[in-house]
Amino acid sequence: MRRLRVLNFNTPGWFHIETSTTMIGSPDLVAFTKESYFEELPTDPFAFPEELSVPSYTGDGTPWSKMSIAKFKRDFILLAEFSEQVGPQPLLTVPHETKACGTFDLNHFSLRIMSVDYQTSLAGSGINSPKLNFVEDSKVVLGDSKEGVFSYIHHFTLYDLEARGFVRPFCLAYVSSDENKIIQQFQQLSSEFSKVSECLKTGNRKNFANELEAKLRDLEYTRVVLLRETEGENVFNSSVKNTKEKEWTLNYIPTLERDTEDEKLKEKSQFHKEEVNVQEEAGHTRQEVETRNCPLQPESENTSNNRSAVLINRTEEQNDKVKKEVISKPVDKITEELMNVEKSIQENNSLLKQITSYPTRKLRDSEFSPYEPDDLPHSLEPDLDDSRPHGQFSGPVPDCSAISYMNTPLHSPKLINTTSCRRFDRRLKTLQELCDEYFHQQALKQLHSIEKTFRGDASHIYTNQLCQNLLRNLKSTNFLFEHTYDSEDAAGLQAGTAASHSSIRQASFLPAPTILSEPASLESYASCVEMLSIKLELDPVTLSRTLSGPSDDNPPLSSKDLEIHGETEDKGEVSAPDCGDTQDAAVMKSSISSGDSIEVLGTEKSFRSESSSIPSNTAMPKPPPTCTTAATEDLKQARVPTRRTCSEDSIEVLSTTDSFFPEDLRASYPCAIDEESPEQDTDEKNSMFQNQKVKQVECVVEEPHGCPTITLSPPDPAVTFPSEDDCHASCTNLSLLEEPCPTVRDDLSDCFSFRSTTTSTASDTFSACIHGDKRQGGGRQRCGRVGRAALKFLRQFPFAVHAAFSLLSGRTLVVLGSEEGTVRRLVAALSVYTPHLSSYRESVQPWISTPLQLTDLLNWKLVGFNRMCSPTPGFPNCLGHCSRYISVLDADQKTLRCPTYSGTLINLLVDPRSHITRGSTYFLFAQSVLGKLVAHAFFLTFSSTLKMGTNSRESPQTVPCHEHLHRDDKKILHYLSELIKLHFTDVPPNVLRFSYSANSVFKL
Amino acid sequence: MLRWILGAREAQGTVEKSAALFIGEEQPKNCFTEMQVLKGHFDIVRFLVQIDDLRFASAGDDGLVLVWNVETGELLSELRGHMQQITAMTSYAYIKGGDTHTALITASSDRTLSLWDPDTGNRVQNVSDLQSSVKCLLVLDRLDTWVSGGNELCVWNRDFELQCKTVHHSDTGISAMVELPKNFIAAAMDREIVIFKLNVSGSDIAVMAMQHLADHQDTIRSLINVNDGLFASGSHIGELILWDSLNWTIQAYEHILWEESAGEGQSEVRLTNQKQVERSIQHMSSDGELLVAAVGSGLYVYNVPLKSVVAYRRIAHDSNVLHTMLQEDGHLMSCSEDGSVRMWELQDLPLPAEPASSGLFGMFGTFGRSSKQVCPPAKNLPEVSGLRSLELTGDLIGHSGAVQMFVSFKEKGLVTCSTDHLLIVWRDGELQSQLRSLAVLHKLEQNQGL
Repeated sequence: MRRLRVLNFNTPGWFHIETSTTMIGSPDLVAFTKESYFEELPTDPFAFPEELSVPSYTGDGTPWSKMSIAKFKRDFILLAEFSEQVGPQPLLTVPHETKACGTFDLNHFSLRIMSVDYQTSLAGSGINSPKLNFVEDSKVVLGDSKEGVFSYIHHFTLYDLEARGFVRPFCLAYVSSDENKIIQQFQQLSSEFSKVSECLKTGNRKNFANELEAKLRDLEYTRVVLLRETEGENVFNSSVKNTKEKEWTLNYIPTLERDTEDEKLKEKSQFHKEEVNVQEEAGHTRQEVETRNCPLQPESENTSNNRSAVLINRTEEQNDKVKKEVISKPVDKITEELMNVEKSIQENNSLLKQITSYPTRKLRDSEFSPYEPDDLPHSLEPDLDDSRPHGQFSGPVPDCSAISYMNTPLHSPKLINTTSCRRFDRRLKTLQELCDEYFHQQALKQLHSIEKTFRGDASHIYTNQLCQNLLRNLKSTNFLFEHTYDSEDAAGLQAGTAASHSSIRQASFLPAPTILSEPASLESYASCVEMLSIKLELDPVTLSRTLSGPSDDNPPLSSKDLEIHGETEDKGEVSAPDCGDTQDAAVMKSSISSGDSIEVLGTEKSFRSESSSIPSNTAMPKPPPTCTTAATEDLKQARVPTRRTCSEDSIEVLSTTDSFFPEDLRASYPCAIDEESPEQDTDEKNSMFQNQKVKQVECVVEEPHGCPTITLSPPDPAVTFPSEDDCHASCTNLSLLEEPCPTVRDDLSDCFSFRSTTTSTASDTFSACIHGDKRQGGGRQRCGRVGRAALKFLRQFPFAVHAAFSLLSGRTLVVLGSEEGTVRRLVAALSVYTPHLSSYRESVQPWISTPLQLTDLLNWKLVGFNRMCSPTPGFPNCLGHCSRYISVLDADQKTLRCPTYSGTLINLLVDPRSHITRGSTYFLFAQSVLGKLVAHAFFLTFSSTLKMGTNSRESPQTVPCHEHLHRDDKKILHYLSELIKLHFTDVPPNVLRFSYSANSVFKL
Repeated sequence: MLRWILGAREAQGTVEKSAALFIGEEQPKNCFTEMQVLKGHFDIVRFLVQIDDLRFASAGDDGLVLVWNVETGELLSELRGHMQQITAMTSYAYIKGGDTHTALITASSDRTLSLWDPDTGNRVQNVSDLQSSVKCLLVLDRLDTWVSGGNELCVWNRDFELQCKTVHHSDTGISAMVELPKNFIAAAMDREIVIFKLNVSGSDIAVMAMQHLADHQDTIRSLINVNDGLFASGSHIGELILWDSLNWTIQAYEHILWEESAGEGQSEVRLTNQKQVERSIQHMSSDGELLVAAVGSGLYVYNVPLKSVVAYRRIAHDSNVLHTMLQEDGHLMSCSEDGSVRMWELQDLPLPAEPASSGLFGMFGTFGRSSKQVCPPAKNLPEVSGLRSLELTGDLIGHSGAVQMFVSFKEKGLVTCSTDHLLIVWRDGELQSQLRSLAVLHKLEQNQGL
């Protein structure tokens, strides 16, 4: 007996839907919204404003997840496919199966979640040409309380020319043992998985279009061959050989073996050889995968087209073989075949048109930007992440852009046997083949980051989100100690919540920590410039192509055109403008290769890498695909009608047999079809929190084995979390920046692992740690690490409070030492107490070797200083010069020279050294103490200001409530208050505040 | 005429030393708790000129003239044009269209004179190919003319037209000038003070040397107006002479000699025990009643009406004092080659009857230079009549090179310039904090809340 839980995201309060089949029994009840939802909240005058209030914990017992009865060890992501050959099958899990799944039956689970078939009809459905359905993803929550398995399931389809109905249904599932997690994080999961799916689909469209083009070329070629054949039968009735030679001359196919006098051809073959070599390498992994994954692979390779790994000479042989076959056929068969081919051409053209006219709406959505034009080297680097189990990806990843573009010039037309065009007994393409390599890698990366984001206890994630949310509302003070930064401000160029996401991601991919925190390096400027210039020079091309290309609704695809096309291609020395002496050719070109518009995202990078990897005199047979917003917008404008026919967000495929066409759906789901115009889109983007229009998310409840399904509609995100997108952004941010860590349950083992770290490794970890922790904010591991360092520091130095006082009162603390690891460790420890000056500046310098200038003190509040860089032994001169403004912690001699602290406010910070043992606990504790300080400072800032306002310019003495404070405590509060003032008034902190106070020297 | 030999006994010296040089880090009377470093120059910054309440100009050896906002530290404009170091700079107020504008006149080693509009950053006027480079500038507001002093003295009108000039005097040239009543000008040329008269007839101006005052034994380093009736000059060997502005007679002659004990020679050359050392008078400033002179690394405060010393510090800095300023209430500031600015306060000695004076004003029959005319021994002043002590109230440390000069903007702060190419604005932290609070209030009102 199974139980299936249905979650409703639409109506508030309790809801459940019971579906009874033989498989499904009494379902559980799920409280989705807060119970207080219906109650009229009494207006409490002392209550916090809504944006600052925290819902109190209403559950019973601990907030932590209950012990799981699930058979898997930890929550994981499953990617499964409904294979048309073997049925539902799991493809991969994140993290790797061995780490997460335990005894959990993945196959069985896949069967359950992949029970919806997305096939579209093709031939035989009564429609002349095959039609692609742009089916939107469906989002489903599935629960099985008996097994303790709850999952968010995201279905999507990819296109495959060889698949039934051209579609391959896939699904991504987040599998958790905690149902609350799924419920709470539904929005986040949904948006994250949408990104992954979008990424895969984009890559897939690119490959699909390439595939179609290649096939079209093959078909054209076949047609020409067949035409000649019929003519040949009639006129010459000559030998097979003659015809064959004639064809060769006509089609002028360069090969490796063929000896020609033509110099050019020789050069080209030379080049081809190189390319082939590259390809051999590139295709190596793939072929391995193929052979391993698919033992069923039939030997009929000759019909498979567009295989990048196929070597030219091999293709050649095959062609010859096919030609012999064709030629030896009787005439009537040939005519029949000719008709088949022509029909097939039409079909494929139609498909190509459809795929290229895919609504570009998605791409314009800034929420989705799988392409990081400047980070390709990064993204393609083998991820050193812990959970990198998939054998097929672990090797060095070939440069995908190089492959995808070398495909085309290499492709030589093949004869196609129309009768075996659609065969289902062949092996299916793997996901990697279906999807462009780059996008595939991106998607995997995203999956890993999702896994990290949602790793751990639900209540932990929830609290984090609450914290982030609260901090976001405390704009005037949140910069001081918190690890968040205002992405909206940082993004600058992009507006809106959604934009913040991508901007963060981009920032995190940059080699430098952030552009904001430090003056950007020269290199990064250079790369920016480079990018820009490329964009600019491509722009006109794009525009012209957008004007000519898409407007050509019915591209003339005469054989003549195609021949021209083929020739230019084969000569391999002409690019689009060169072959444009015949207008037709140019037009044809733009239309035939209009698959480019799909690859829009790929452009800058691929263009660059291409131009760098291919010798200059050789061809770029395809005009470089380009991407600008203008272009996509134009495309979009031009294709609105097309878009209309495509199904919108909430279109569901409800049953297994036939897919719906949008028209049908529009009738039955009028609201769902109500699509947003591009303008609305932008508006929506701009209005960040309030106007966040609820995306129409469908919850399809599906049963295994084709049982009836129920569709529900949209949730109200405001009920769960206001501005989740933001939380979400930061979550992703954190997870992306997180260092790889082999031990998963870091928190449990942190105390012990720390002890064993040697100096050298410590220096490594801390270099990274310090780099990120204050600014980019770390996950728990980072907190733990910094907290541990701080605890150790407290234990080691009994006078730690004075050092903390220096930092909190804005006096630069210099950690002086000769050993980098030690200094960095101390800096890491002390960074806990260092307030940020503003959102944009890095106030911690873990290790410098250049003399300290007075101006440095303005920005640097915590500095690790290399004693060895000073020519004089002992106390460096430059520090002596600034001695009035700095405190010095000598790591070698274990001395601290700084003003004495005799207040009480921050004693708590150093008190717990005997009680708290875990690093992360201490870190959070310190944060809470500091948070209290900040609240004090906030009050001081704004209450004294208001007082000043009422008493005009009368001497604004300290507010009464601060008068009892010790002088040192006032110093701290005033310093924080000044920072808040500067931050609030948007004045960059450009003055150095100091005080004249006596220094003491503390010695161990 | 009087010769002061100022020294200290061992005991006094140690007290002074500890008090002067180690004020310690706790400086409750020092209100400058905020600094802003202004970067812009590429070489030594030597001159600061206040343009108005908000702006000042800095100039130095890099030939750049930079105009700054003292409140924000913003660089307002860069006046580029001089090819070599700036040798003199002054502000020049003129009336145009009913408003008073302030321009800047700069002189450079490239023998050019320029008039700048600090509002636009334009070079309004330029005179090049002068016979010699100008070392000092003096604006005569009454005559609406200005005078440049180099090897010769030139008189210019507001349109940068040369009105008249003197003959070539000497290669040393004019190092300083002050305006005297009745269109007279006193100019310091090496050891002499030359009195020039400007004859104004209609629009024509003629200049004529009236008198050479050759009473200094060595090069005159400093020349200032004390009040309407007096001006003062100080020489390289510590001679301080007060002159009558009208008849140019000596009103007082002081020869300041620092007593040097072998035991406490600081950075100076070690001399024999109880040797008197002459120190150059680098700079003087006066508020009309008190006159403070920077003598070597010491400070010397002189009461002009009483013609007596008020207070002194033999070692006020570790190195030569370059600039001084008298403020109200007996506060004064000094800056030095040692890179610090020090603030002093004149305080009454706690015990007036303290017989420290016998040691302070010991009389000595020997003098620094035997060749010199021997003055009658200094007469012993009435003991401690009005003698006060000069107490260090605070110091500003930040520059890593000699502090050349400073300009005070009262509550808006103090600007210092230095050989380390930097300018620093020192501000009252409390006051700035209040200003920021006001800014916050303003923003709160604008935003209608947080």
